[in-house]
Amino acid sequence: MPLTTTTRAAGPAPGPRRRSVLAGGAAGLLAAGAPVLTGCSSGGRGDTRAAGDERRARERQALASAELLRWYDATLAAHPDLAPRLAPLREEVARHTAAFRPQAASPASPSPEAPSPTPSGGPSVPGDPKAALAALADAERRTAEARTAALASATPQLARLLASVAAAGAAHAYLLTGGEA
Amino acid sequence: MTAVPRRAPSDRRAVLAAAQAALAAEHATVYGYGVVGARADDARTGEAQEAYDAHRARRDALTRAVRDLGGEPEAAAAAYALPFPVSDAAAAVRLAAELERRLAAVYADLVGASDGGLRAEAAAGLREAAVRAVRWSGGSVAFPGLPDRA
Repeated sequence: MPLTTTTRAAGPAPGPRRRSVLAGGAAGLLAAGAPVLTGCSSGGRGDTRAAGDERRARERQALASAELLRWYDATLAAHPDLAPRLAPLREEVARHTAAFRPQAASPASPSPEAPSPTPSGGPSVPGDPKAALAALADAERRTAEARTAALASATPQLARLLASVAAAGAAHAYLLTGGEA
Repeated sequence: MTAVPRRAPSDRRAVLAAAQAALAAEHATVYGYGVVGARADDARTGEAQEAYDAHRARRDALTRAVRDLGGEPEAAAAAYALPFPVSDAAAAVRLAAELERRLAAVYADLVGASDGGLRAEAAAGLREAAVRAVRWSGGSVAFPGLPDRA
């Protein structure tokens, strides 16, 4: 079975040895890159401007997550039977919204919890449940793509969060369409 | 703009370290999928094979990335210790999900350490790992690759 082939990259042959990269205790090795993330590369007079850029970028992302929440709420309002499937994903989207607003994460701001009635001009949800799930998956996918596009100009910390949330969005789209994504 | 390098030497070392960590994790994942493929039931061997091939491709891309950064690519170990015994198909599926979850964390770190094309590649690796983790486990997490937020 070819799956059992042990591969080696070019370079000095390591010789038979046993690494515990996969063992629980080796999480440290797998996370070796972590310490670099605390370093911020900006310095000097650009700092104030960079901080403003960062704040605006976070706010844009928070708004994108809030928009996605409205999609979930509109879909839930139109198709209450989908609640068991949608509720856990909606909860994660609410956490994304809060994560982009670390200091203003008060429950007062665009209420991530209580499903609100569809505002006029909000998402228009298809009447067929399957089509509704597909439309929601599209919204997740579009949002994830926009986050991916925003990666290039993001600070290391924000980039890490953006990439993670975009990955969650792709996973949501996969779950919403039952693996057809 | 002047011809100043975009990164200080310490930053370059950090990028290289994160790329090496990702490469080491892909080596481990390729090894792990060997175990998954051997134990998974027939319905999922195709999925295991597909993941195995995709991780080999990512491993090769990371090998090139490490060379481009001036490093000597981390070699694969002859064997890796598994996080738990994998003696049946259910355990094989759990191992596959675990491999992807751990890989996601390494890619998230590489996203933070790098920029440009390597950052985009790391983000794609993170996304694929998150989707595969969901495929194997059936459940999602809010922040794939960010265990500090879990």
